[in-house]
Amino acid sequence: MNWGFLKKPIFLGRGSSAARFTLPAVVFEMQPEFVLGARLEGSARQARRVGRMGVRRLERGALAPHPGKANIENAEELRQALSEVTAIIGNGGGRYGLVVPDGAVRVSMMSFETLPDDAAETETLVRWKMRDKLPFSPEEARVSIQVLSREAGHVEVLAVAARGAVLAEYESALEPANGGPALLLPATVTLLPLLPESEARGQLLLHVCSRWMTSVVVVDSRPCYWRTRELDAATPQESARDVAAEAARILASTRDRLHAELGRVWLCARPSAGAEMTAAVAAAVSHAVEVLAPRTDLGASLTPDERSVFGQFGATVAGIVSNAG
Amino acid sequence: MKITLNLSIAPSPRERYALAWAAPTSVLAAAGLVLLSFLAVRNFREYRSARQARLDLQQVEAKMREQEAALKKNLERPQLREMYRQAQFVNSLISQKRSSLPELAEKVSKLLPGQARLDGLALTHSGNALTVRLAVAGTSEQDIEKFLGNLEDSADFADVTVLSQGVAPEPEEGGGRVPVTVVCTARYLGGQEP
Repeated sequence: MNWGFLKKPIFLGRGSSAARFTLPAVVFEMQPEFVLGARLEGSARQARRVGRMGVRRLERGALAPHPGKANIENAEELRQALSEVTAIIGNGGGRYGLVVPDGAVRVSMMSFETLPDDAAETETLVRWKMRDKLPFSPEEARVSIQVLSREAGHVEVLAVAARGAVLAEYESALEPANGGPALLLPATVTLLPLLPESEARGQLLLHVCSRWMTSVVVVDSRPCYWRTRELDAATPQESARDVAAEAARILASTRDRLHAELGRVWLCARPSAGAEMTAAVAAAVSHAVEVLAPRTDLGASLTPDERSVFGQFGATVAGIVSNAG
Repeated sequence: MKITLNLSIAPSPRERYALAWAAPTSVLAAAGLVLLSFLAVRNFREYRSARQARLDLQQVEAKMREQEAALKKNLERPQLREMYRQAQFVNSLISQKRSSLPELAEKVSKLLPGQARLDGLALTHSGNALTVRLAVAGTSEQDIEKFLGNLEDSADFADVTVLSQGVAPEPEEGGGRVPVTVVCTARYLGGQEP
């Protein structure tokens, strides 16, 4: 006899531990070189806009993203930066959104013939399949799953996994003043809603932030390729060269392995990339490169200074707002 | 593309619905508080009235005790004590008057069997009690035993005590049987007030 129907009522809330996407009133982002905070205006029904925006530079070495070990090297510096940003945007005291560096998480695209109906069983299956990519025990991972496509005998899944202790470290930096995160995502995931869905051909997204680079290939609104790496470059010129070289490699790989042609190439560098990097990437991929910038109407109520900060750093916040809209 | 991912920990049902349950729980708690307060006030009022009733009764009891003490004190006055003694004397006279000797002789005669006769009868007073001394002679021991049985069963006499029993030294005139005699005492109840 199948007793599965009893599981849910009896073990209510003990199934999948991950939450669904939700739009918080305040968003914080921690990156190795800066801390960002944004307060969102409007209600859940009305269109949201960014009401306040603040950014604070971090000393080099205060934050070192890694999926398996402690990320915060200088907790005092990070806490100070967060309190300064909080002073700008105001402390809501409620649950907040938290964007963490790509280097602290692992993202993977997986295919299954079928998935269990139970969310907890699906999470266990994904955990087991990701075990080779995780530099820690799969049981320690917090996992979030999004089904990209479901056809007969073929299910594609986008999974994000991070070590619970690492995420708790980021949460603890904000915990004393707030009620815990309602939304927790890696930076590049928040950029996906900014990509146009109408594009029939493939799209390449290059996210360069704080000497880390994440490359994503999206075909038919489905991520097909995801790679995050740390850049060794010491100067902006070296960075531009590294990014261009990485873009060229991915372009070749996409043609060879995915048999897909790229229609658009997007570059999102934070702070904003100079013309040198854009030109270098365009030359490497032999394709026009578009800058992925936040929509200006989302920051219409910001002061000129905050608008400038929003333009340089606010793509992740814009992505979160766009995803909820 | 829309994303549904989120690495934050989902709030438990308890956390999620705590706020929603807070309002009805507060209303129920407030209603309970009002009910308990109402019952407490009612119980306090009942307690207060019961306490007042007890105090009233205690006051009445104290007054009655005072009256009793006053009466006792009054009774112990020499004039009243003399009057009490005289009343007792009058009562004893009344009681003596009520015990009539012919009536006593008639009651004893009814207890005698056919062959027995009453030889002696005396009535003495000892305090409030009346004691009868009887001397009976019969032709056989059976007559005497029957008389004593009748005497004990009688409602007019109690505490029968045989003082002596014997056979007479001479036979009766005409060659009759030798008489058997008995002398006894009994407490006479017939003269007392019911």
